[in-house]
Amino acid sequence: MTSLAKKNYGDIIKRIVNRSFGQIERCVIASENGLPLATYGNPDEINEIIAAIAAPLFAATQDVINNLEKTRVVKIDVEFTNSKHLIIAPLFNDVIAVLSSRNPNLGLIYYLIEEIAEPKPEENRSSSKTSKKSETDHDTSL
Amino acid sequence: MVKVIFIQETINLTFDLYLVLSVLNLTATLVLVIVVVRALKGERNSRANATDRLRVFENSIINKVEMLRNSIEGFKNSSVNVLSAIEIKLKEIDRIALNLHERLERKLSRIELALVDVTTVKSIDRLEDVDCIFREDGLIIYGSYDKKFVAHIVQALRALESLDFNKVEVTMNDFTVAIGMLGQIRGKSIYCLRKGSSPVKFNSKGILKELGDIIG
Repeated sequence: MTSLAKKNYGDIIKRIVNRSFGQIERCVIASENGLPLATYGNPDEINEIIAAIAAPLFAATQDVINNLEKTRVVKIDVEFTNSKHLIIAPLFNDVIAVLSSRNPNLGLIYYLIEEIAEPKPEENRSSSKTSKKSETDHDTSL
Repeated sequence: MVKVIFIQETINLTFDLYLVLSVLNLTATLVLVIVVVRALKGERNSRANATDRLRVFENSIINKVEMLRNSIEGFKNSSVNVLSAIEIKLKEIDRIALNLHERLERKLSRIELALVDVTTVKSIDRLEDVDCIFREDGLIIYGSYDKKFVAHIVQALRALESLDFNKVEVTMNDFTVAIGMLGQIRGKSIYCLRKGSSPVKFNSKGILKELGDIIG
């Protein structure tokens, strides 16, 4: 991972957290081997734990799903009994994990993650023109 | 000899007459002086009296003027008090009028709204007439709409939650999005959304019944 990419990840996290209206408690971007690349929230040890959990969990889920359907996992939402959610989504070759606050506005968190996460496989097949338009829409939003 | 005596007598007589005349003259002069002095004294007295009277008169005039001034000031003070009272009353009347005006305005706007409701509000009774139904956590459970809009509306509805509202309308450039509170399913509040140009009224029971038939 280059330092430029790390800087971009920092910007991505800042962008998500700033637009979440306090719905996001922690946000971690982790490499596929479970190392945190950019984080939000203190203390940082918890972020390291989240990174260590999220990357293998997502990889394992993807492997399991591959046995069922030849498709890709878009996101994993783990709901806790304390009404918090841990949402994991792919981000290029890494994963982004978001720990929400209690009773979160999931629609908003999903929207924010979808904005920066990898395009869905179905979107890959669509024309590049449409993708560009979609990206433009996202950039001008809010 | 006789002649000399006569002359002498004449001289004596003449002398006496002169004396008498002188005495008379002196007396007359004295009388005149006395008269003049008395007259002068009297005049002085009358002047003093007149001055005294004038002073008394002046004092009485001053007293009268003072009284008049006092009564005018009293009148002025009472007038000021009356004016203040009138001003207070006027302000009170003004306030009452303003309150009445505001209340009338409110009543009129309600009547207008009611009239608009009667004439133009469309009742949405069926599930297919709404664009989407979403939960309080922002997840769309029926239909579809701009996810960004729904996510931010959920955030706004959370702020309005305590107001116990039935419907919220968001007017954009040339259309209105109406969001209605349908009720609760499994402890989560459910809202419906419809985009349109005319006001709508959601039939919560009818829509929820149809939704229940679909999602179980």
